[in-house]
Amino acid sequence: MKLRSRVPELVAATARETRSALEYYRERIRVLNPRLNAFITPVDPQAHPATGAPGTRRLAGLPIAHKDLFVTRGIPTTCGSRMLAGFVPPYDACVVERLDLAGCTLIGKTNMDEFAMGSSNETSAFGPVRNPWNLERVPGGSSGGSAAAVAAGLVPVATGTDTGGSIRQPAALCGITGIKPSYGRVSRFGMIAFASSMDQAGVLARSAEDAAWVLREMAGHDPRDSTSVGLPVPDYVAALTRGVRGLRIGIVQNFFDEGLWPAVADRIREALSVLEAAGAQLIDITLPHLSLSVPVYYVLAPAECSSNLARYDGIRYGHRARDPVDLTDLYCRSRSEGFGAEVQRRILIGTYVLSHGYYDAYYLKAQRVRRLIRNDFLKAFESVDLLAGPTTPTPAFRLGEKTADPLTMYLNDIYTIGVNLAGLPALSVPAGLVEGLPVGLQLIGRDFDEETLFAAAADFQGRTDWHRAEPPGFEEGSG
Amino acid sequence: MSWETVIGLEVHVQLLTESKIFSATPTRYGASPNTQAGLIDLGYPGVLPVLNRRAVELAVRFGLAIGATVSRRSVFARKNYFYPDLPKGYQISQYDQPIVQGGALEIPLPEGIVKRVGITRAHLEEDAGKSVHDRFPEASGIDLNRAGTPLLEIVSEPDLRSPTQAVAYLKALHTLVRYLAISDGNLQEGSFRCDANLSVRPTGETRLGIRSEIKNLNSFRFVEQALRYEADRQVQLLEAGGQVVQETRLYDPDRRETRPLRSKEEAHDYRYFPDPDLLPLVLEETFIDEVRSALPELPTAKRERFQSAYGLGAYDAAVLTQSRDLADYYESAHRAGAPDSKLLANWILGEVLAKLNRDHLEIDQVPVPASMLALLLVRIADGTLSGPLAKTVFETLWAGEGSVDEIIDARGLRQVSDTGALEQVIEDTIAAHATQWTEYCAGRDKLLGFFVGQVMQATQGRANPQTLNALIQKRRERSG
Amino acid sequence: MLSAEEVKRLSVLARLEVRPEDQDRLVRELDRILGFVRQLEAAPTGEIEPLVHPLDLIQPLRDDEVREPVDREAIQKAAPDVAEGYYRVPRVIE
Repeated sequence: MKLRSRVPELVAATARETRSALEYYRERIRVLNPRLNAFITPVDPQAHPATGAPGTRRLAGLPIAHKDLFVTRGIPTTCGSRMLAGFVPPYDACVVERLDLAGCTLIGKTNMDEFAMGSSNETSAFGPVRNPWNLERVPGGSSGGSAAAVAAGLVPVATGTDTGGSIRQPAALCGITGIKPSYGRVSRFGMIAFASSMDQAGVLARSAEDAAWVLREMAGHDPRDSTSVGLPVPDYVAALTRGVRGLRIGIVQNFFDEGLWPAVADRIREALSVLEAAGAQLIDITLPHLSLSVPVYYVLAPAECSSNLARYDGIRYGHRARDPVDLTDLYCRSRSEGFGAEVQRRILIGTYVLSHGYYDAYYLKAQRVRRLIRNDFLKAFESVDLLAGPTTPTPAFRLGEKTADPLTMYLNDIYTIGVNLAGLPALSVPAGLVEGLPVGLQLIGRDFDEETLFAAAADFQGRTDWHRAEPPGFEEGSG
Repeated sequence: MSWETVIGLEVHVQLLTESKIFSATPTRYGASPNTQAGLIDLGYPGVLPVLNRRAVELAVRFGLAIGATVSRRSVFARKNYFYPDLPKGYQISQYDQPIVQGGALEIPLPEGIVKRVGITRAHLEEDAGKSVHDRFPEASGIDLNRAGTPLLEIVSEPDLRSPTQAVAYLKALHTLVRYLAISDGNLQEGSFRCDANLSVRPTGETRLGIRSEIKNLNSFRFVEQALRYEADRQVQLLEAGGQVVQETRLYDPDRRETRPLRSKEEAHDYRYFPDPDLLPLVLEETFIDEVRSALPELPTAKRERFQSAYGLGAYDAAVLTQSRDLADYYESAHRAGAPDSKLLANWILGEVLAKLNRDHLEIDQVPVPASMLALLLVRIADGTLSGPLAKTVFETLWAGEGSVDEIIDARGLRQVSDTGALEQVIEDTIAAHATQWTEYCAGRDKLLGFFVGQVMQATQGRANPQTLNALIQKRRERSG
Repeated sequence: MLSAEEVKRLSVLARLEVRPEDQDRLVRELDRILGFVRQLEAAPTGEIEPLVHPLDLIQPLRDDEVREPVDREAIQKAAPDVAEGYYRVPRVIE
């Protein structure tokens, strides 16, 4: 067993030596997790046996961690919130079921920003996660626990969700590969909702190859999710060898704005030249309405979340205030005690933009701009096959650096949010280090064209070593 | 000053589906608390709604039946508010793009007038659960079995002008939804619930007055009482120089009054927005055509047909067609050979309904099959049974004791039309009541009934009344 | 400028309790966020159709079948206060 084993190697190794991969990673979690706080609940491998028909078994024995937003039968599921501390669901998310059937073994539920609202993992009720590249830095969020765990080699692959960049941004800041598939590609059943029209499950892994192996099992139509599409799932693993030769890649000029650190811009330009050298054609593209992504998002995501989180009322499950004097007291105290400050802010913003007299000016207006943004992307894809740019404007920032000002935190997702508004697939691959911290190259694809993303990312990773870089202190044999 | 009452009604009809509108749990009434509330009904984290095709079909069926526009595209929205019986903190409903728009219901009013009441819209939504207040000290219990049951909310135009008209509308709507088999219409079980908007204005005024909304109208009787009370209250208020406040009021059937809802609710702000978990409902023409081709004959058409095809009066036809089952019973008996369509109507409207009522049965539980009723009427027509005897036979049939002919034979009920046998009984009767006979012969015609009665008694009612009458009169002529 | 009264109204609608010592900070934060998103006002959208779902798909329909078994006991394990099968809450006043 080697730390840098690829997913197919791990599966093959497990077939030879039963449970060796599991023991290897469980030991690393035991020793290394205390530095990172990447897990909310470590899971005993026997605790969550797969039920139902035997599945593909293509990932037999592969240890996996799920973001603690995927509901897991019999295993605590907190969504990073005090509201759900101690909540043990009697059902599994579709993603969990499918990966069980593929043969994965769940070894832990990862830490995350509370209800996926955050970009630094600092809103978790279970304490912040630390970036393995620098323990004083954030791992990004909201899938920060999954990103840190994979980057530090505590687990080979982990699931995440991405509503405004919550897979790609932490993947970039932790130096790993993260893919957010097309909206509708992966079932949202059992994925605790934040903003339903943007939430999408994906994978955090060391490489595009590993991510392809996992996404292939997660994706596909689920009749329990009305927004999941009936399209057949392409063989993402087969797409890995297609290469970028002949692809037209649009460089999103808007991303190279004044907020982007010059050193990050340099890494991204170097990465793009690698793709060019591999035979891709680079074309400058401007998306005229993209600059409005962040304000659109901070109308729509809070609007949806204010409604999605109304179910947490202390009656059927979840935190309940002690000795409520009346019904209003039960509601208000249960919710204010159960939710953290960021979640409450977003609920209030969402309540405001949907309320009488403001709906048209905020919610409806934002949905109109949302269409303009999607139309920009569709127009761009008439002339290019992929879009590219940085995943984040800066490398990982310090813990506490942006917590004082919510708005500064929001602007961290400036390059990732547009993709969620448009529903497109996108991934982030490591593109080098800035001041010893990883930065990510973001690739954006057409609707349901994850294959081209995998092809380009795998080709890039065949020509670069950034995805093999290991955070100091977490190398093989660390502990 | 004279006042005009303006009423619009909102009726919530539970649709007849096996499973909930957005989940696969049962809709059965009366189950033990929370045994029919699944993860989706309870709003567990991460679960999602998927729309029930049958609920959509039933809504479309209603739309077609009232001549409405069935929206080719409608949208589900979230209505956000907190209430313990509303598990998600929002109700999935339809807001600005409902599935049914426009249409009308024709309601019969006294003196044969038919009024056309506009339907503004009908939309699909999920029902909430129930709170029980008498189970625990100082606490309420929440039963979410009903949560997610499909509802069609049918909103009328403010076209109704009196509580009587409102009740007529509700009855017509009630008949229609049961005809269409979209709801069992059970008022006690809450399958058919009504809220009313009522305002008053000086006669001749065209603008609407300020209205109040009255909830908790769970029987037709309460609707009428509550609306009368509320109209009087508003008129008195206005005549005393006051103003009506736009508010929601609850009807208290015990005190027979409406009062404002007590909860210190902040002004409602439901923050409707399209439900991101559900996509637009788009109906293909083929879907609508299939529903249309399966539409049953509607009450109005059936009533008219009963008048023209069976020669029934307007009243009889209206009552017989009030429910599809009753109309079917009539037509089955007719097909089975009941000889006289008016006599058949009289029997059903008289004997059958009276006994159903007496035994608290519905027409689909009637113990006398239509074919048996038909045979009974045949036996009247062929002279085997007299009317009174037929009623005795019917009573026995109702009790489930044999067929028509078996009962007639077993109990010797066959009518006596044999002149010789009857003449003997008449002679015996005259002998026993000589004084009366003398008076009768002297011209006290009223005594005919007395003798008929005596003979009937002596024959246990089996004497053919026509024959008997003729014989007695003939006997007097001979005496005279 | 968002007022404290408005934040109060929002917190009532959202059933959140705002502690007095948090109120000023919260008003400032929300006002700043709303000020930021208000830049959308200037966007030239005209009457372009609002985009609710990223994909132009239509609602699938499921057959009317009872398929989800309800295990009340298992489900109510997660409930803070149940009695006789009911979820118990402070008295609901109508």
